[in-house]
Amino acid sequence: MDPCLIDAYLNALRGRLRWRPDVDDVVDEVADHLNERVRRLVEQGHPVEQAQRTALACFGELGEIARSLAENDSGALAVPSRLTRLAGVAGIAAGVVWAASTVAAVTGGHMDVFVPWSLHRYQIWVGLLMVALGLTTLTLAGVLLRIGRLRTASGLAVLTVGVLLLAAMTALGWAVTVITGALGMAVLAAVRVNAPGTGTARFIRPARVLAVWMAGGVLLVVLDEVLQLGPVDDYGDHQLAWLVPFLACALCSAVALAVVGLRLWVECPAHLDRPRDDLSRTSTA
Amino acid sequence: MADGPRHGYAVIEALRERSDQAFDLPEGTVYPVLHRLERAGLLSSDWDESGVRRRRTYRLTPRGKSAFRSEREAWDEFAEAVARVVKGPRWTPA
Repeated sequence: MDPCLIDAYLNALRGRLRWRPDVDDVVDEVADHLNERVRRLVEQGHPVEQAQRTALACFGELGEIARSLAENDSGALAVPSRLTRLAGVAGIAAGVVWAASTVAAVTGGHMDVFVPWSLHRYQIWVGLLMVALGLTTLTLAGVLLRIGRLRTASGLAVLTVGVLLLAAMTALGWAVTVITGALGMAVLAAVRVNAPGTGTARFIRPARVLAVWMAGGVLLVVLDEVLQLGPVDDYGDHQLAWLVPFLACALCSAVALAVVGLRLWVECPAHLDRPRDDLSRTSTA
Repeated sequence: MADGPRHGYAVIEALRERSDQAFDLPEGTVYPVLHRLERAGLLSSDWDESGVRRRRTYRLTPRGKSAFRSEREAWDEFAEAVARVVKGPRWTPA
């Protein structure tokens, strides 16, 4: 049996779905189907090449099949693209800036535990927080786009919360640990989907780490009000109680965003937009 | 699949035969649906590696069987209701 047409179809399908972690299983399943179809057609007396063309024509146009295999459970495309790659760069940058914000926090930006607090240092720290939050929002938009949930209510909620927090940060930078908890809640709502085999779990799991800000807000209250950790500043706040949760949350976010960013960035964009190509025209001829 | 485990090709063939060729869909469209049902926990699948080619077989999970029974009952009721409406009392011109 001349396997050329079937193999060409399978290779093209593999190329279109190469970003799926289970691409070998998908291609093996399609190969089994096509070969079974060809075998039966040949048994009925069809010439091999004609049987292969018929099997491919009955199976469906390559672009259409690849596209339907790239859809998530709500029918939206969940594929890597140039935009998701850009979001990956934003994620890596967000990781770096969150890490930088922890340095700025302990060097007089947030509390004067180690270095005396100054307005200038505080402004630098808040500036870093705003950049970090903006990049985080862009990264989350990339994750939502990648899993096909950007244009859903929960996807829009994440973006809205991200933009509102960015605005709130100008006046409430000192309360970053508490207010960023809202972003954590929005992230949890948006990325609750975990569809095995779609290749999206590896973005969803690290993104969920951002919900650590919710725990950070609770920890802050416990350390400040119950345990009363560290020296008291002019406002009556326990300095270490405010600093420790921020450092923990910011470092967790830095690592999580860098991981998500790297995973988004390394994926080559999928090419599913072309409705037909030469191979599929051949197969349906 | 309520009759027992099947692979994708057998599902398409059964669909075509039972519908008297009425449902002659592009065969490849069955796989995204099977994958989605598996992700929803209604189907489970196993790979048979004993033959020349690897073959994936799907079966209904207990949750899938329960969903199938409930969907079929709902469909039967709907189809009967539509049939009663369509047949209705004999129309006679005025």
